Amino acid sequence: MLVCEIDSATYNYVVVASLKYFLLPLPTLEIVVVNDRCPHRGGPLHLGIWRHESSTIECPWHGTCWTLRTLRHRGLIVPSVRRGQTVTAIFEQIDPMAPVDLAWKEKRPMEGSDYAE
Amino acid sequence: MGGVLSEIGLQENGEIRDRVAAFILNPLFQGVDHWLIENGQYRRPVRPQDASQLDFSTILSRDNNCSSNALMGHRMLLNIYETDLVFLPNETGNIHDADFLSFYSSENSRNGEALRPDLERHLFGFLEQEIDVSGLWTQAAMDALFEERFESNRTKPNPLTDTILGANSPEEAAHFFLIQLAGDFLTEASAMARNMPGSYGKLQSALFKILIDEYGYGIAEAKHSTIFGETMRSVGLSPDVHTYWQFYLPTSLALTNYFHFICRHRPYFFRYVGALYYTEQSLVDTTKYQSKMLREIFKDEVDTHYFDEHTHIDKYHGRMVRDQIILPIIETYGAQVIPEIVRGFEEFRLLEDLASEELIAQILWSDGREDFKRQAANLASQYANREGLRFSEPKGELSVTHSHDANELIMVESGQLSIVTSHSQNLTLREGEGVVIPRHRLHGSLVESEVCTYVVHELPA
Repeated sequence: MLVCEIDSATYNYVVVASLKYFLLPLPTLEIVVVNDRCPHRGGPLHLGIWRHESSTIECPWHGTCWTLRTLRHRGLIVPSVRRGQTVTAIFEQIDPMAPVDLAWKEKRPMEGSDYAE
Repeated sequence: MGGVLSEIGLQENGEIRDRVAAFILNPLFQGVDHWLIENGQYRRPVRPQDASQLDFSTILSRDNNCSSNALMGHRMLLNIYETDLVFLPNETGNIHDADFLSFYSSENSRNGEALRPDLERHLFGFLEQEIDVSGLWTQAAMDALFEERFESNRTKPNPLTDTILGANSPEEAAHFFLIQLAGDFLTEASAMARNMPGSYGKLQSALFKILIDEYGYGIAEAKHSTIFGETMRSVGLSPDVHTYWQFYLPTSLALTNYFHFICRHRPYFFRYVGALYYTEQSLVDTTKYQSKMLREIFKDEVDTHYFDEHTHIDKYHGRMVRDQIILPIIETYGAQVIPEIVRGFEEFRLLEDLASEELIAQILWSDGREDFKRQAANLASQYANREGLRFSEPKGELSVTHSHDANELIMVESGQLSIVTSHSQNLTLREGEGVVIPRHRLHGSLVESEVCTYVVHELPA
């Protein structure tokens, strides 16, 4: 189990033990930590389109849409706590000594969405 | 915003103002003649004269948790919550004591109840904005988070203890620290007791075991509030409830009010359990450091039994909350309940951090008050011909402790004014002297000459 603090103003992408996750800020101020690998064919979800009205993210590869609820139930949203802009994420099944790489990744413009970064 | 607070909804400021005005009409909440308050269990000034300038219809941001809104709001809210507690007239009083009857009057209760939801939203709404708990939680993830938080508490430096020990007067700083605790500890576990009635099986019994520890198993001398009173007495402070009412900081009041808030609203029961776990488990280490700090300052004079008792018993309480309350709750309701428990844990942790930050700032201001007097001397000529707010007040005029939302310069034109920065620390300002009062720092004033005229200038941020 690895507990990791992320300053969401500086980083929005994290790689732990070669697994990739991204921070998705929602208009409600909530920030969710999402597994970047699309459950369909492994597409990079951080480049997907977020649609707030349906609470879905569309994978850039095959257009598969995932609701946050489904991603959560599949265990693809990491348990986390946001306090201000600091997110503490708990990566289960990960060695606490595993390497952690934090990064800032530009996202694809959020077309068709009412969500503005 | 979710839960109970969202049900309160947005209210018009005018309507809230009317409810504030009705509540603070009670003579118990008006001005007083002394800094320390006898009969403090009922007499709790809130500075009604400030109400018309304050807006309680908004949600106070995290950065405004030490503001004048926060101070007046939390004073009023504690006055409302504590009408549910029993405070009897002291031994020199009688059962027809006017303050006793006024505090528990139907009118006071009715006015307080009308205002309470507005204040809860105003003062605690920011927690919904400041904290989120997301994702699919398991018990293992919850345990990992909690352990990380406690480990961080154990290993990170303690700036509050360092500030107190490093003050020009560590004794005065430690007194002020104890006073912040007194608002809660002299009525210890009263908020928790709100959760005892009802019927909820084994959980109720587990919680009750902790409560009876807090109340000393019915032995007055073992009650935690009694033990804390002895600590106060041992260093020359009053063990009576709310004697130091005027010197509670808003973020200290927030800690007490938060427990009343989450214990009063049943949907927040699971948050309460998380907050209780944080406080019980973190006190094991915190009280150890506090006891050591007090002994370092007051040597053998101080009675640290209260702190030593918590270092000991809270190991058990922490374990009891986890094993006999949290784990059975998860077993009963499943993992869906974990985010609420985590939220309560994190909310109280945030409030404790804010209280610590404000206390440090207040100690630095009070301890370094001569520096702020020198700052005023440097600014005096610059502001000599500027228009400010001019006040002329008679001897004995006491301005109940308060704070301002901007930095201010006070200059005495004639007479003598005492600026109080803590229960025992003040600055005497004579003609031509002044002081800079930083934004949000608690202070009061007392006119010491026949008449005193002074001018207040707002300073840039």
